[in-house]
Amino acid sequence: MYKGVADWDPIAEVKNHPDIHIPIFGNGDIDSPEKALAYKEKYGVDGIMIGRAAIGYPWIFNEIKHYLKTGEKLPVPTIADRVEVSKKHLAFSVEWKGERKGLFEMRRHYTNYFKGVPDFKPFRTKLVEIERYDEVLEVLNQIEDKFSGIFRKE
Amino acid sequence: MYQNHKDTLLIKIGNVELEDFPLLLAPMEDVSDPPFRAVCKENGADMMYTEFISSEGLIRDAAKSVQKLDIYDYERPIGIQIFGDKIDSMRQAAAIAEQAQPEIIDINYGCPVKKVACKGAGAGILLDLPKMQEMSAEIVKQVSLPVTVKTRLGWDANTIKIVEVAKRLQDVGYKHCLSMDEHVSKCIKEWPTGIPSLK
Repeated sequence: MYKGVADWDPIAEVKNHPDIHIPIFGNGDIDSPEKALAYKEKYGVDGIMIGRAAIGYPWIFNEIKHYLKTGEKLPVPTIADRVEVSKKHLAFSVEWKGERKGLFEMRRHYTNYFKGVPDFKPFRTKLVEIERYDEVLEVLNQIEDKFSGIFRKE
Repeated sequence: MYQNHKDTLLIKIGNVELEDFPLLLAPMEDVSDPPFRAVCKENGADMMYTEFISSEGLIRDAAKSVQKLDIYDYERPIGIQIFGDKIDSMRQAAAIAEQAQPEIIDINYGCPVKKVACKGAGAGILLDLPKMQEMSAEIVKQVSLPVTVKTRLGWDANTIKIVEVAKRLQDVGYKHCLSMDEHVSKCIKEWPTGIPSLK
């Protein structure tokens, strides 16, 4: 893997250049509220673009916003939150692409939605093998029941 | 939150106004589709982009490309991203994308994937900055929407010309903004044979 330039210095160079007046957004490797704040302060960009960190974790947007406003971190999403959002994502996927393609293209997202859940592999295997929408929903319900104690809000 | 409008810093891209320090969802192939964008919007994304859409596909009316123009009102503001290596195709594709009524047209000058960059599209255009400027100018002239660009620092670590890229884009018109990936293109290392057609 090519390592390349490891920081945002050239982005800051553009942003702070006296002749450049257009808005500049930074992108690359922002995956936490702390990092977003640190990069905002260090590089002075007008905003940031989130890519990979949002895959299976759309909560990252509000988590960053809340942290920038209050300095406090939001509680991580519970299993019920994760199941609810992945069901919503899946339902739209099936509606927009059809059942077969919708189920298939949703598979790449599950690992991230349930990242940090111990012994999740058997469920993940089911989620990426099942070819019927109602059966996937059933597995998602099982996940919610079995792992309800994880990520519990304080 | 803010006491009055004057306290609210706004980021303006043409007539699109975003709250101070906006968080944008990146255009990601096979990921940033309407189902994924829906959950990102619900969870705080301030502005989003579609997956990148092939200019040639749009001109041919290819179903796969046209489907990617689907946008929904609750997603606004949203940008449609297009890519391609031919200036005239990109101009026509921008016109087609504008008819789908997004807030912004975004040009991809950053994709490092071989099938895109090797043909001179995506990050490949960073090897020909005059062409990049001309393509951008043609697109800005073609559409009435604001145009933004997503790019990366350079083609490789030895050719980081991002300040020049930004100046050239700024010269094209006031409507631009630039989102920059911190990475340089990965192409060189992934293609040991190089890319002679672009040199």
